[in-house]
Amino acid sequence: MKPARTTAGYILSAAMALLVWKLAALAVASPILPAPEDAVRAFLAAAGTAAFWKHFGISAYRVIVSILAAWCLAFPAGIIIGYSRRVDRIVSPLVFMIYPIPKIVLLPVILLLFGLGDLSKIILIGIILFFQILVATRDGVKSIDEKYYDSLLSMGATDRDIIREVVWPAALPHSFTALRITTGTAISVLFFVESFATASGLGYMIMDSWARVAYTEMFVGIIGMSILGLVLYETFRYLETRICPWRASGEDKVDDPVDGGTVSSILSRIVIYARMIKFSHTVFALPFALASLVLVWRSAPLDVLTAFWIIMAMVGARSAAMGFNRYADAAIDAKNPRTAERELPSGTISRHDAVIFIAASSLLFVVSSALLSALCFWLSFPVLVMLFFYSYTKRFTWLSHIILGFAISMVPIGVWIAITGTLSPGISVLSLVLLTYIAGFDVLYACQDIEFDRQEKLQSIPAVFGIRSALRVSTLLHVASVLSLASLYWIFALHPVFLAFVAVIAVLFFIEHLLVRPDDLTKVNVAFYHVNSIISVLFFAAILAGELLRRVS
Amino acid sequence: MIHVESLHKEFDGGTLRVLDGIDFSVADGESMAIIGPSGCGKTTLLYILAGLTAYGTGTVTVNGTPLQGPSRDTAFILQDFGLLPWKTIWQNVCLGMKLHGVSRPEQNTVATELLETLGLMQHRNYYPARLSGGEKQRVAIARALALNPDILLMDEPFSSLDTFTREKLQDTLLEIRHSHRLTMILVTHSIEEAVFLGDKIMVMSRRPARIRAIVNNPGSGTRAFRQEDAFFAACRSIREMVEET
Repeated sequence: MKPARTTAGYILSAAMALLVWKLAALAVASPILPAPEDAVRAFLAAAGTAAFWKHFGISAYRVIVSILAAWCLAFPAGIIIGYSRRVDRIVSPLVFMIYPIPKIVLLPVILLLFGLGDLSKIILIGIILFFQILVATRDGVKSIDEKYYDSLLSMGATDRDIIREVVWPAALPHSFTALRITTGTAISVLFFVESFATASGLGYMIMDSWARVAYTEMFVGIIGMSILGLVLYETFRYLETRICPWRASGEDKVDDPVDGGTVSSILSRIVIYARMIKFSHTVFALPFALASLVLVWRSAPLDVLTAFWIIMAMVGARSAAMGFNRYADAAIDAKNPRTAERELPSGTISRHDAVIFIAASSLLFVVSSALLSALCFWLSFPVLVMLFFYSYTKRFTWLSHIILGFAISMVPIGVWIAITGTLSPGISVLSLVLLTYIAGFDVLYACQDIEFDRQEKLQSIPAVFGIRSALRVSTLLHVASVLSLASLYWIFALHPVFLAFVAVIAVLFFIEHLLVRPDDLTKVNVAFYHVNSIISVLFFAAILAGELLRRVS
Repeated sequence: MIHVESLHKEFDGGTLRVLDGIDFSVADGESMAIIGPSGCGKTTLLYILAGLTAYGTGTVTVNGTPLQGPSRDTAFILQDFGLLPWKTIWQNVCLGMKLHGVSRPEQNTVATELLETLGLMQHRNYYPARLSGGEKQRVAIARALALNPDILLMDEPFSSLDTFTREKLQDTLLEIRHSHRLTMILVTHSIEEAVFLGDKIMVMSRRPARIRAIVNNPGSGTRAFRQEDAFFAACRSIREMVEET
């Protein structure tokens, strides 16, 4: 697995965990479960103090020494027991008799023998890990295929040769797997032994803050312990891939399976969905959401959490709308050679999965809206209807481009309502910019499908009025877009630099329209993607610069 | 030179008789293919010759001395090749030399030459899991040849390969046998393979295995033999013999 994918996997699961935590915190609504942002903030503050690192350091010391000691004793012992039939016969019954006994009950004995200090803590964690690693190593040796022994024996190998060349390398990954799996156990036992008779360590920190009813501080300890466990787990995994490189080498030949539960396959699945909803096209509308945030900022305070839920709402809405569009149009897309390779018509995503995806996205949209305000919650339903409805408009009206533009142009208005709770004429103008911009390039896009749309009796401006007129309509829409953009200068009293940006955008539109000629549509994709992504970002840059400089001057 | 006389082998304290009076000899540079029903004891015979399994009664002499355990002069390629998954191709090929204390520079010379001959040089840093069946078989051949043995024992060497790869490797083996002047014994399930590679073919009976016949097969030893009428005739007569068992 590539490290970048692992990282992405971690970010994804962390985001997921935070989301669940947040929802749980809202549901519980009690100081016992503080909101994740409070806990994280407290954790970051604690991370700057020596006291926290003292606890963290002592906990890390205890658990790492235990693990090292356990491995150094258990691995060689496991190899000997596994390899020598005689030793196995004598020792194994003993090991398997002790193995199921919960070693943790030995705590009082260990405390009496070794005192209350670190030594007894290390010994207790060590004993528990010792048996796990021992049994895993022994079983690993037992599972070595006879043919490896035979092939070495036929070359005249001695027992020592066989242990060095076969048994040791074959058992090593088993011991690493055991180490990885026992990380959880090690940390649990660590918590247990740190919960009494000590005044240091993360376990102590958790129990102490619990006793003091300092719940946020308690979560600092909990986060600290989680991080300790995570770091150990990843370290063992890293060591395993470095020390046992042959374990990964076979995977190069196998393509990532699309089904299955591994992080990498989940990620490849996500990539497929992202392609279905043209996630990369978010670049066209997201700048408008951000621009809207910049403009709303002057009349209302903005906090990170609100911004987060706004973005979640937008992601949900966009995914639901595009997903539904693909779903509704699957039969049409399948007939058009340009779109037949899309994920639904080609079967990469099943209809059933697409429905689940659309439902989940809609839910994300509604939940995020609900967390913004009650008004947003109620408004999310008509918006959702609008988002689904636009997919059908091309079946009965050539105004479909405008309706698509309108659906997307709800973004700035939505952001405004989310934060201020009211509508303002100014922001409607920004929505108009977006509406005309999107509608204009949707007309251009539709030029590619003119033959197909006519044949399938689908309505679009090119199909109804011809390419030449369509290009003219598109030009008009983009002129309207630039003009309404320029008017924002007066409406929001922006800094004059804004107008310079508008001029650049106008030039880019001009180039875009030069690229597409009635007799040559080959440039549509270039015109579409590259120029438009620059234009979209410039929209945002224009408003950001205009607003920031206004504040400064 | 391998000489086997009235060889008997039993397992499980005499309750399971596997080999029942086997006599044969294979001259230096000669090859013999052993063919017979599944589970008849062919593999046991090969393990005995490799020095991995102790034999019951009878005599087995290799190059004039009684067989006592594995020898450096005898190389054995197991059915699934027995390549160590945790060693690269290069390390697998050098393994036998390492065990016998061959110096590093000499290991490098020998391994480079073998891997180049067998077309594996570009794969030398791969682990076996990345190789195809045919490539693994070539690595196993390289590993076997690294100690420059006189005798090569092979247990169903090509059974897991497709026809095309199998025939190419049979040709390779033919060349190597001649260039290294190897004495060869191979166990196989394939009549065509036995006829193509064996100067003589030993047909064994069901367990406890006895020798039904040792057939001389003078035509083998060239690539062209595969296309000759004599080849098909030999296959037919061996097939009849096998079907009678």
